[in-house]
Amino acid sequence: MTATEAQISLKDVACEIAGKRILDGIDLDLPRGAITVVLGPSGAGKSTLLRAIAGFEPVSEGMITSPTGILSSPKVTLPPEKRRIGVVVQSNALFPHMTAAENVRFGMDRSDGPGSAQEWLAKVELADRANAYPHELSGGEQQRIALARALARQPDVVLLDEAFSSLDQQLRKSMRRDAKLLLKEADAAVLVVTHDPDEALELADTIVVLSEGRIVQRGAPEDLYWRPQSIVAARLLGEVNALTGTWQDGVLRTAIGDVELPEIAENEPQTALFRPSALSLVPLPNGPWTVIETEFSGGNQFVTVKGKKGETLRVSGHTNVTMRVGDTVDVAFDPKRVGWA
Amino acid sequence: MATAIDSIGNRAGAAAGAILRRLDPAVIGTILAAFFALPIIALIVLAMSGDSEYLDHIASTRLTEFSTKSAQLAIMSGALAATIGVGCAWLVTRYEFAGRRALSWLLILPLAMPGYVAAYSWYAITAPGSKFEAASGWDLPTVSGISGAAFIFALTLYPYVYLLSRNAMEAHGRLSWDIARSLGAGSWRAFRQITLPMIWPAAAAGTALVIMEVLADYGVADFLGVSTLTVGIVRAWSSFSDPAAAAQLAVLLLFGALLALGAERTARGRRQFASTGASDTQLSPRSQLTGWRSALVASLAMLPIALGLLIPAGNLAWLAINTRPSGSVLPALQGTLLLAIGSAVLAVLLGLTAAYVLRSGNRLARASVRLLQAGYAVPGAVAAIAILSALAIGQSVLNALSGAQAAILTGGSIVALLLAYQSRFAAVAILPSEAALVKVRPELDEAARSLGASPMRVVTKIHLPLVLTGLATAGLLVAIEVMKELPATMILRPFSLDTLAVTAHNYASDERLAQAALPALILIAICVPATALLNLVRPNA
Repeated sequence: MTATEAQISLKDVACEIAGKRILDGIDLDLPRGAITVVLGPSGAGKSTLLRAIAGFEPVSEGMITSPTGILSSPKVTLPPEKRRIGVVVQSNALFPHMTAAENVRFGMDRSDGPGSAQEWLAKVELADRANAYPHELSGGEQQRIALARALARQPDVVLLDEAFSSLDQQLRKSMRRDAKLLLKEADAAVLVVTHDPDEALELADTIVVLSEGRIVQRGAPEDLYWRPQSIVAARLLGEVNALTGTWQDGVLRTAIGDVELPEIAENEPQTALFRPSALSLVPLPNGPWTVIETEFSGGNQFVTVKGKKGETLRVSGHTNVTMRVGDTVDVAFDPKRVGWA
Repeated sequence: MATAIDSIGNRAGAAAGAILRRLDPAVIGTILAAFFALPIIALIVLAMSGDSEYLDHIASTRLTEFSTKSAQLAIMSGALAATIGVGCAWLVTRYEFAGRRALSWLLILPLAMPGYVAAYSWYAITAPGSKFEAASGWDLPTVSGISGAAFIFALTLYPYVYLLSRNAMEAHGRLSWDIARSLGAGSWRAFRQITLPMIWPAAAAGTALVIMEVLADYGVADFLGVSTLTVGIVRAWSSFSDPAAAAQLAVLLLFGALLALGAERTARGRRQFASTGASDTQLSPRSQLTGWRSALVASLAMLPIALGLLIPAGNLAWLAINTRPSGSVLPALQGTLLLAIGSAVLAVLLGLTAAYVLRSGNRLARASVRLLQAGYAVPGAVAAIAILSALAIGQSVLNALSGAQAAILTGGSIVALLLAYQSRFAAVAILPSEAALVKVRPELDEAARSLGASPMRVVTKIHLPLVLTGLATAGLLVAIEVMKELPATMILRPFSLDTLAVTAHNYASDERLAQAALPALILIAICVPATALLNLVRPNA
């Protein structure tokens, strides 16, 4: 069992609901032991992708396969209960009339391995709440039970749909860390749907960007963060500066200098994308950029600068180089950290 | 002059305000509850005081029959209504098919069909030698007796179960079902272990409502020849003129109704079925059906509407068109509207008062209002006999005081009838009034005042629009119930007062079904649109 063995493969998958094409031409491999995060604006088809993999939604074109055979094709849809999947959703969907332990036990086969419901509760640090009903648990506790319930049946594939979105910021962070350990330990193919960039960057081995039913970019988190290939992909992972330029002698001429783009950038893109932290400011009397606003946020300072033609850039950097409104500067960029669109 | 009147008005207003401020909600609540509890107490007193000659007589002959028939009928109707209600709720929440949205609220409408009207119509269709059987050559089983009555009740009362189960399933049914499937449960196991237990409290509450209605019914059981307790009560009253015996039977029936109410309240137990998270309709949309599957499910969901409303109403329309009316139905229509509107206004006032009392948060006050709400479980015949008992006891007290026949209190008056309606239906007005008042949060007053609105403007522009729909809903609910009500009206109405329900019942009892058709049809023509309106006003209620 290697880390790259695809547990689930989607080949040219399309989904239509009520005559409307929600997914189109999806090719995607979900390897065992790896976490794949699907990012996309709302309505991009993220949940439908998850539902198709789970077997809740039939595919209208293409095929979903596992090493044991075909899961979905336009002709057959293996029902969800036969797919060895685990699903965790935002509203956790714990069965309200069952205790925590009964919820965890619901999907377990008795023949299955050594893990008991009690052991799973212990793994999510809720051994003492076995007999509590869902409404007696806090939001975070409910989500832990939902995760334990999904993992307890030792699924081949784990699907998380905005699983931590209903938790508050603090709780989300710790929950994410614990979940990542458990998911890695489960050695399943994991697909996470989220709109939270922090969550995507922290959990993902691979990020897939979905827009209008199609995959527009995929790659490692660092790759996608620094070198997004569309405005959509760039915005989904955080703040970005977009500078349009003109194409000349194989480089894109922008207000902060010439940008060399890799060969894979097709069709001579017109816009270069820079994260605020990929830019740096150099104090320069009578420089081309003027500081118009500064924001202090703990370890970082966000500085907004305005160029000669009225264009603005947001730059973040360490607070030891303090800028003041009215200072004139020059802007430099890290050539390895440029995206395009 | 004008200023003088104004100042009198102001002083009167100030005085009323002062009285209102001084009135403790607990006191109002207790007065309200006592007012409605008194007749029940009088009923029990009367039942105990009367000699038990009639009761002994029927005990040796028919009491067992009355009780077992009532119980049998309640169980059969409840089970059938629950099956139809849960089944339809499952179809419209689980699947997407042609006409689903329309069917999802059309399925509520048979509730507007008074059971006895459906009974007349179905009997007319299926009676041996009926025109329909002659024309079609089919030999349908006649709708009569206990199974016929259960059929009628199930088809006209299933919407209680349907409505409550549908809302429960809509809230978290599909997602839980999907999750159960993902955890390895087949569709049957998912339905049995997850869906059913989750909607059980809602379905049980709906079924308890069905059973209460069945126990309270007089029209269907009497017409189809099922000797239930309620039929016994009305007969003891009207045929044997024996109030004590009627009271004794009424106490028995009240006990049965309270049992149904208690069963529903305790069914929930420790487990709370509230969803633990936001409903994820996005994640679990309905399964799309196409082609013959879509048509099949649509016709299945259409069936209860056809059997409970369309076919009986259509048959009545046909009968009415082909029959020369034997008298004007105008007086009956006037009587029905008078009672319905009067009761609606009274119930809204009572409901508002009760809601205000509830809002105060006083514990005793809340307890008394909750007691008042249990009044809905009191069958109409019981309420009527209870009011009569109270009047009779009041009369004897007056007689003793004045030493003469001070005949100022009478049964058979509109006041007695309105009181009986209120003791049942004021409960119906409390919930919507409460919901309406909740919307008037104190912050809204403060916000409006801070924006420069005068107190008058706050009332007209903020409070009224907020509570109006709620109060209209409460009034309409009560009006529909009063128009359909039969047993209390039969017992308490003054002889000069006719209603559509009573007229239809009298014709039908004489087997003059064709004459019963017109008043019954008018009743449907008022109640069906009113019910439809209610469901447009509050789609999730």
